Amino acid sequence: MEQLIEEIKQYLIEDLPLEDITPAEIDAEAPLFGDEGLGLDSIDALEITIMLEKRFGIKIADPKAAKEIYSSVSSIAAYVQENRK
Amino acid sequence: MRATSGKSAVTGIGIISCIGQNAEENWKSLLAKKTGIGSLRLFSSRHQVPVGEIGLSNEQLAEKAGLPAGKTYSRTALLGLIACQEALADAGIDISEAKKAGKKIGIINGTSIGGMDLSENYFANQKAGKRARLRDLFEHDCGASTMRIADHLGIKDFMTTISTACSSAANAIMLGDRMLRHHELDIVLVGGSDPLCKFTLNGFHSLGILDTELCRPFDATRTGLNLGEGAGFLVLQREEDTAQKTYCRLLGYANANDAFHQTATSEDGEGPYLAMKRALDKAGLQPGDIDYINAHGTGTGNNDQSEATAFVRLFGEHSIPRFSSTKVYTGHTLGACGGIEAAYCALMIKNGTIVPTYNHTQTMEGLDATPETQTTAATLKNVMSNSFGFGGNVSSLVFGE
Amino acid sequence: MKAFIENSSCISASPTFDADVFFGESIATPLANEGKLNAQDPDYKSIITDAGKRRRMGHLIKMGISSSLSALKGTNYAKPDAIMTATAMGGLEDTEKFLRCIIDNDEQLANPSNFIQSTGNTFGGQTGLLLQHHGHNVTYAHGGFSFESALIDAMLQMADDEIETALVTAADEITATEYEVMRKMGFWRNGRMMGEGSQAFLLTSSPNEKTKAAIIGLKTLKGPLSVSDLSNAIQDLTHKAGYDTEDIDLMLLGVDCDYEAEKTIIGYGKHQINYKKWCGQFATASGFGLWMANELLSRQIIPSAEEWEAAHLKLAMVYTEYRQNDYSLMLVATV
Repeated sequence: MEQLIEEIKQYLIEDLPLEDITPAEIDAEAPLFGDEGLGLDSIDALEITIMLEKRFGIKIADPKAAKEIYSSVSSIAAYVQENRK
Repeated sequence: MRATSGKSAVTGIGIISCIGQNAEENWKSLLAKKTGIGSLRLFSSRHQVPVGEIGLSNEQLAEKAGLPAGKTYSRTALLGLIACQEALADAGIDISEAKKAGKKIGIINGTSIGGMDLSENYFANQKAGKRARLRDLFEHDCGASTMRIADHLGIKDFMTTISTACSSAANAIMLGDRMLRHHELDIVLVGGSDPLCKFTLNGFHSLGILDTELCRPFDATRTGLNLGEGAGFLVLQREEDTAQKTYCRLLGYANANDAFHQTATSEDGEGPYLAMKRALDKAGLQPGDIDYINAHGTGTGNNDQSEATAFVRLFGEHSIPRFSSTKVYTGHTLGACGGIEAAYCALMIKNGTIVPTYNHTQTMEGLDATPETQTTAATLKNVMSNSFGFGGNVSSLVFGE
Repeated sequence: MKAFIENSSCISASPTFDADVFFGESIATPLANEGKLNAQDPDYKSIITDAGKRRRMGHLIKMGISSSLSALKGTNYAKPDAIMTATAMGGLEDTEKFLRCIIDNDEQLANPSNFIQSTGNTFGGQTGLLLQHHGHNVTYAHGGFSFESALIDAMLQMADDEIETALVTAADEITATEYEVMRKMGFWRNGRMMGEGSQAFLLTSSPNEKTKAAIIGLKTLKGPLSVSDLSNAIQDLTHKAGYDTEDIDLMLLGVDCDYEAEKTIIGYGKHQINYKKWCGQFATASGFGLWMANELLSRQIIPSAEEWEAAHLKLAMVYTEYRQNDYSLMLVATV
């Protein structure tokens, strides 16, 4: 799990992209969206969907489900763990 | 020369869309509440969503426009040229005669993607290992389509292209009026043209805002927009120069920046509010003077909420003028919609008829703003047309009889 | 039509971002990189300081926003009344990325950021977003008339008393594909170089203590042009502004075809300068011409073989040709 979290942090940095941010600076438990944490926006949510499909082959069709899954790096990791083939 | 204090008059209109290949056919479809939105046939795509397509290939469009066979034109240029030809004929203008009479003639076109359909060919052929023709890339930039239209019509005095996404054509109308009143031009074609293509279909799909069914503007159940294609152009002339009967006058307009998000419109409708307010101010009108609004009304959750909120702010919750969205007939024609819908406004004023929104069943939550659902006869003194684009680009036009 | 230039900024293939440095030293000649004159990029991080806003910006947008912010710096107008932007090609790099992605991946995994960045008005919209600017904001995209159209819009609104200040910015970027297409067409012969850059101007409707020059005439001309067409247009524009062609001190020529031949044809101007040698050839290069006209009139200098030397200058004309198709004339005078 630890390794998966690190992997996801790296992918977020590369794919969104996040400039000037190192994996160490991302708190796996902190909210990704909104004013706290990384402060991502709706376009980033679409980018994360593509990232999951491209990197892990996981498709998320329902935007409402996506909202919960994308709440933090660790929630994304938990979902990937469970749904990865 | 000093600017004239008079207004510009709309002396001709030209429209091609999925509900008609000229203004008359468009008007008949609108009165019959006939949508042109259906399955995608123009090109193959894995995204099978409803679209509003014209049903003619580029070759057929070229023939309709009277162009020589075998030459390469982007779909944007073809659609634009057809609408411009109709608008000029409608205004009774022959370019070569007007030139002989010393008139300065210009064209201002709004388009969001220019010759993208041909660029797609280039890259697809390259990928498939086929011969990719360089000339397919020459038409890529937005200005190239306008240049082709101008060349074919014989317009040399002035030409330019505006690219502000879905408000492009509305912004073209504004510049046209300014150039007329300052006597930089005597006759100006203003409007916009955008075709369906893979690029925009995938772009809107990537943003997750395409409805998989017929769109439902201002409806509680709305889930997105349908893309369309087409062109809409007006001929504008100074009203003091026009002896003939005109459709209407351009009374006021404004462009404002929502400055909220790259693609979304603000929840409080600040940009739309400012554009409509400033357009009224420029027209010297009060909110109560507006008899009808042709809304941007795309059918996305965000657009319609924002636009309706701005209506409430400007007009008051219980005094919103009658309004409708015609995108349920044409689809969202992007850079062209401001031109097509301005031409619809001209027809509504001339015919004293409000065209309703179709496919509306449920009022939006928390917003007392219901579009017209019945075709109504009405004296339309002043009407407003809204166009909102990505980048927070919001435009509002006011036309009067 | 008239507009006063209060401040300007220029990113180009030459070290123009700090104008005092560029005009303070011996005359710089930009170095070509495989036939291209790439922009000398300033440190974008120090200009667009918000990493969250900067992270999605492509090169075109970074150039456009940096020159815009720099043109506003030190003026009284953190928020001008209107923003007009000009880009013939828009975010070409992102357009190509998105297009290739949908073709290569059979319309899957398309990245919305590239799509958003590709639209013509992204840098105008982003400038508005960054400045929290709610005024008029329009982007012109018409080859060699893009920048001129943006200026016309600004000047007409000033003449109508609708605005007092406008930020007018031009930007276009080099992409490998466009270079290659033009190469196959044989365009890059005879020392022609593809360029890129962004020029921004804070224009005002009346002069103030900072104003040194004003745009007093502007005309776009559609090619093909005969020598007499051009000559008539130059005379007409100069006369309309209340001058004679003999009053033109400086002719800034931005030509894509043969400079020496064109120089002889045009003939006007006590001094003639080939400005595209500093910025290369691209659709909105006339922005560079206007920037240089304003700087030379303000500093009262002209280039000699190696140095900038003092000269008495009152009236300059910027003549620009883009691919023998779009031509423009801008008349600039000291105030």
